[in-house]
Amino acid sequence: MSPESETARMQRAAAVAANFNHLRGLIPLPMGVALLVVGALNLDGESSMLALPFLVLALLAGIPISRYYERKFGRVRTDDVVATTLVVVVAVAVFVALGLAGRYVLAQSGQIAVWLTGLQVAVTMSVMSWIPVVVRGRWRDLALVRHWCAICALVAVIALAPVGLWTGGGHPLNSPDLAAPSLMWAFGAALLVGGALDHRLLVRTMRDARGAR
Amino acid sequence: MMSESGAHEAANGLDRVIHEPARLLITTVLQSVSGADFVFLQNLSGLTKGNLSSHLNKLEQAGYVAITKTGAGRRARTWVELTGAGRAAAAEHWKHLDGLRALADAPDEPADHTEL
Repeated sequence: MSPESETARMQRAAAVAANFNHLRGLIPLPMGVALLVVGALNLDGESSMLALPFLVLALLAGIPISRYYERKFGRVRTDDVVATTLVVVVAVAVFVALGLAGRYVLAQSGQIAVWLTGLQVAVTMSVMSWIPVVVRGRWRDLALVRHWCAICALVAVIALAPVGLWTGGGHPLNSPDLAAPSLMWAFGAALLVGGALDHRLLVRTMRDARGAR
Repeated sequence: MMSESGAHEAANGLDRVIHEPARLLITTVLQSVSGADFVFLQNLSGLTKGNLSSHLNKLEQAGYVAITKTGAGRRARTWVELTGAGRAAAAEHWKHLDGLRALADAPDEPADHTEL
């Protein structure tokens, strides 16, 4: 193996170690499934109390999965307090701001051809994936969030498709009945795909680092 | 071709303790985190427990890593972190490696054909 590729693999291993806690992609999978189910339960546009047990179960399911990662891959300590706090604060702020802006635009114009909550999901997730890299100043780690960028771009493209022009009115997913469920489906699906890809990246990089030696 | 004196100087700066591939991987990974446990390092390096212990002992003797044991029984865990000296040595080592690579990538120096 060339020294160049060996160096690259070592640096990749270091990047994965620095982002190890975020790459434990199986942990958000139950939440992804729960959001899909809860979205389906909320199809009538009213929040159902049935949703709560699903969300609690999804959170609890994260505990054994977290233990699985500890047993199989070990543990890493990172000084992530600033990055994690900033991700939560900025993501909530962006999500709420876009939600309010969407409602305002909808109230003003009545009908919008594009899917507003889809855009809300795409931008919020995009912010969540970029902030840790920016805060740590580890620009090489951008390679680890490429799939999240692709997911956000895909959701944004789907959201920006002017479906409303063909349906002769607003985008159907902007309707009061479908706005909340479609938001949960988009988040749920993104968590499922992104989480699975995070896990695959983690497994592959650890295997490659072993092979490089 | 790299200049002989430059290459010699850069090679002289290489830290023998860190330069061994397994230890270079361990220190490089530890540079990017506050600490990692034994299981993680074993997974990443593919070393046996005995081999990894031996490498960590060498790094500990050189003052490059601090090893802490926490918990007991099934909760026992061995944490490894780079010391200040370890971080500086690892950074310095990579600087020398980058220097060597730059020298290797540099275009050939014109040969001195002046006849005496």
